[in-house]
Amino acid sequence: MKQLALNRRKFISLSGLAGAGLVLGLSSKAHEARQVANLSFAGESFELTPYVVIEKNGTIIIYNTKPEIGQGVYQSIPAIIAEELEVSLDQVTIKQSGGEKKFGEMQFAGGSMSVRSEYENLRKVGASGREMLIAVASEGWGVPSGECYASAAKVFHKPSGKSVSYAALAEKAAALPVPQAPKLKDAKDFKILGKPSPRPDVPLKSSGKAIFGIDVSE
Amino acid sequence: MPSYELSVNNAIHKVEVDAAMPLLWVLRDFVGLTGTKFGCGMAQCGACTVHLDGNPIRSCSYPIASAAGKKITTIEGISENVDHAIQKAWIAMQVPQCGYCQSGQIMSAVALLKRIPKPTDADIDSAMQGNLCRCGTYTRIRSAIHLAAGDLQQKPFRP
Repeated sequence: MKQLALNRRKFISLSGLAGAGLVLGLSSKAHEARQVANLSFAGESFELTPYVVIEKNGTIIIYNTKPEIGQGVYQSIPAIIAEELEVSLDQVTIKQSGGEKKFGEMQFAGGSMSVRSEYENLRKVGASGREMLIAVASEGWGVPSGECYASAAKVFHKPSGKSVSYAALAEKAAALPVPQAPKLKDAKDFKILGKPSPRPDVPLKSSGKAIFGIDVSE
Repeated sequence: MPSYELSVNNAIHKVEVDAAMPLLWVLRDFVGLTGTKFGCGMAQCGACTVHLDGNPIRSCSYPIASAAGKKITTIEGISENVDHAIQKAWIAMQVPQCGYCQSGQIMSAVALLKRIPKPTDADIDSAMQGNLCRCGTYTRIRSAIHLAAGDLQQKPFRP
């Protein structure tokens, strides 16, 4: 079990801030609020942040926390995280959040705000995960983290060419504190953002498998 | 309460429901197939389209008593792995936006291609005019039907 690093008072103050985020714009403090929930382990899966769960079998789950109503957030929200996490969209299983408190109070969409308001925060979420995974790998190899880089769900050691999968690093990475100011990628190095890719919700919506509000009965 | 034996996607389901209950309600709430959507509830929008003996009908306004004994096919029944020609074309052309009407659109399109394997634009407009799409995906729907019919060498959307 990880220790709860925030006291109740701070939790409430952060939760309240997240609720007002649409008006205020999400600050770095609101990003901090996400970490409030970085506590739970579910069996063989490891939560790097509430948005990023890596299972022992290698499945990488990224949550979309905005309602998909045709505007494309089922793709765009996970894509922003995946870009910084250094995983390709083919390697990701996207899941929809269901209003769980750990995802904060911003689980709604409106005013074309989903990407505009969350862009920076979601990049930090992905970048934090990447830094946590690199930290575990570099420590395991006994090399400086600066000699390591991440790509396609693996961490590489540049000088030696060694590599290790995220799946093998996830358990230890999930036990680390979430970096407060992770280094974001230079936009010129983007592999996913700004490039067209097929929407992952299209097969679901072409087969009756997508779950709409009317389909939820409990 | 009357009892009915329904053939849905080649499986038999026994339901005890009011004779006037719309087929859509039975499919969604009793058989548990929620891929077919409730749109307007009065056969005006096409979201609830399913096949009865291969023909498209509006299940929201079709009493269960009239559906019993016939072969019912829903969106869940047209393919196992989302690989019906129409579904593949839907994916290639990235047709759905919000997706709510698309089960109905696809069922109408599947029925159209069975009736007219190489439809013209006019054939498509005529067969699909009862299926409304609030997102306005009509032009992509038309392209996808042509693509599925194999008479359009459109370059599928790929990164």
